[in-house]
Amino acid sequence: MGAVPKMGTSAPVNIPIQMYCAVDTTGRISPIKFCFEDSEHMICTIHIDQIISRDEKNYVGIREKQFFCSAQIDGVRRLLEIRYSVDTQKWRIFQFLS
Amino acid sequence: MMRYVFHVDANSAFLSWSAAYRTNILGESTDLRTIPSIVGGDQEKRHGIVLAKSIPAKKYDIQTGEPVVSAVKKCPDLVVIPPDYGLYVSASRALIGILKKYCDQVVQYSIDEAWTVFDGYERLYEGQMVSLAHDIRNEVREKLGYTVNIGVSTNLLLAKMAGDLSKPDKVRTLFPAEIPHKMWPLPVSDLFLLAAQPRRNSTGWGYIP
Repeated sequence: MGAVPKMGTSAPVNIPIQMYCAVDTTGRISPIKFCFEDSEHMICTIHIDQIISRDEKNYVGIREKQFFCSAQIDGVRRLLEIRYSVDTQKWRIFQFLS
Repeated sequence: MMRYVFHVDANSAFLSWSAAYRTNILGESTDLRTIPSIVGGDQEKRHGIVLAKSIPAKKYDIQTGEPVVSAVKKCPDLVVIPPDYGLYVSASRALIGILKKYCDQVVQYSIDEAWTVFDGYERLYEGQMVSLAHDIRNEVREKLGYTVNIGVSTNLLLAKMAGDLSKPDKVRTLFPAEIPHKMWPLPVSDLFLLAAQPRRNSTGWGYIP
């Protein structure tokens, strides 16, 4: 997958993704799987194995929900940080942590 | 019962907000606040003025309001970024939102500064005002990603003057009893709301300029 950086790099990537998530009765969002376009213009679907932690940030008044997740990408377990902008309702992979 | 007033002022507001957005939201590694940088007009179209500057840019004698072309001549490595007014409104609202958590009387003076008037808060905060100011300063820095200066006093004028005593990311007091040693040494031109004409006139009245 060309858009996904190799393991060991941790620079922010800001890859826009199409997210499938579940929202419970309290409004708590849980990402389930997401799709994105790689460098060869192929749509890749990645299932999130585990949501390790959640947080909510409000830097310069921009509300974003942070999700630290683990997922299998190309057969390798990767840790990634996904962010959801509450105002624009957009999801993105912010960075790969491993 | 004493009334306390805070004056909260974002440091280099436009530049700080753009820098905080780039580092915390976009994840850029370079923080614009640590390099010579300005928020200015359109450099390609060769128009616009300096709206805000970073602390490193001040060393090149770059003034707010001067043409961008002139600023770039003073510092060829100057990073010029365009303004983002939607972002600035968002950052300003977030700052006011934090202040309103602590006080019901928030007087917003401009997009990046406001007074908070603690009138009737003696039982809640008496004896802890400076500590409260530090708490607010730290909360703004940690939650919003930029720094503010807070001046503490008993009226709006002195609180504003206190905030200007030293920057950035500081809490300063200027109570009436402190006026002789903190305010008297300052030039008359530093007096808040004193316009340019009275400044020139006041030098002939025996005031120290």
